[in-house]
Amino acid sequence: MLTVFLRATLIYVILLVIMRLMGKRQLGQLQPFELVITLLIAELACIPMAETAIPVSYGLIPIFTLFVLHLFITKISARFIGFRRLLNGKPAVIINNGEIDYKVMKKLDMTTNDLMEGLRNSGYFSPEDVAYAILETNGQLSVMPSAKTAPLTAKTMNVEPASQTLPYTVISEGKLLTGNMKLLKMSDGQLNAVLRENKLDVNDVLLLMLDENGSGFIQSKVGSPISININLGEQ
Amino acid sequence: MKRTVFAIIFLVMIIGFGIWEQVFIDDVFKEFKASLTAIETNIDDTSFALDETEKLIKWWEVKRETFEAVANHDEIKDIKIKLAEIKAYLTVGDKNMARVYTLSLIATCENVPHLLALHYEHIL
Repeated sequence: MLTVFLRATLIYVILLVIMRLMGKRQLGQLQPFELVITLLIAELACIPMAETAIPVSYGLIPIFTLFVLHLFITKISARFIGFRRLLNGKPAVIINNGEIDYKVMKKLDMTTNDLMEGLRNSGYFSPEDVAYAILETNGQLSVMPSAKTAPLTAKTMNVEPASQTLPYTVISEGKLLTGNMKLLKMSDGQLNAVLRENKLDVNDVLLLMLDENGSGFIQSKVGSPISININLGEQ
Repeated sequence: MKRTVFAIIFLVMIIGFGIWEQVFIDDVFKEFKASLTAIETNIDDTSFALDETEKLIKWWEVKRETFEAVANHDEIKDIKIKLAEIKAYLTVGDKNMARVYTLSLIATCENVPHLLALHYEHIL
């Protein structure tokens, strides 16, 4: 029993390392060859986990081999568009300028139910609200709304918006992130002032976020969020 | 870049380990077969055969540990039992049965390396 426990732990740790090395795409939207590899890895890891007569290497070596193959295929795909098309296929335009392309749907064995489901998942309940809908190679449906139903933007309103900056997490679950403080050029004095104003200690804070303009919010572990504004230029 | 380096390291390790494994299996079973052949040839000299069998049992105990780390245990699990049976038959003076089991183990020594070796029929 201990053998099985130790094998499972070892294989789990190595799988974590391999999935981490394979990159974020393995965890998100998968291309067909990535889906194959992910499914295979799960099966291969199970083989030596419970069967003690089989050496651990019989599960790990195929996993390492898949990682090497995955990297090799990814590199070739990145370099050659033709190979990428062969491996992943091409996106297909299902709705073209407001019109559903039935021929493309038939070719993909796609039904109107599938199309409507994809549109609803994107927040559109009628094809007449959509200008273009593209079925991506990973099976996701990308939707561009028609001009009538597209959300208004500053560009369409011909308005100059306020500049946008990236908010940074300064305190997360009671832990101070000094690296982000440096990026914001925030001093300890400014941080202490914010905490004193809200009668909090670093450990009491669930989340403190600030953007480069000094706007953000703070929420304690037991309280409600409070908007804050700091002049990050001052020390 | 980091991933490429890891991939190259893994590839080199897999190929290196694979080659070592093949060489190890071949060498061990060649030596094993040679020892068994010497026992079978001299089975009438019970004292010599028994001594050699005991040495072989100790030798196999050491090699077995490495084997179990790299190969399927099903292929080698009966070897220790057969060696114990040969020793038992030699101890009681039953040379015929000792010879039978020795010849059986010699066949195992020819079969196991073939089963674990790199052959196209194993790939397919």
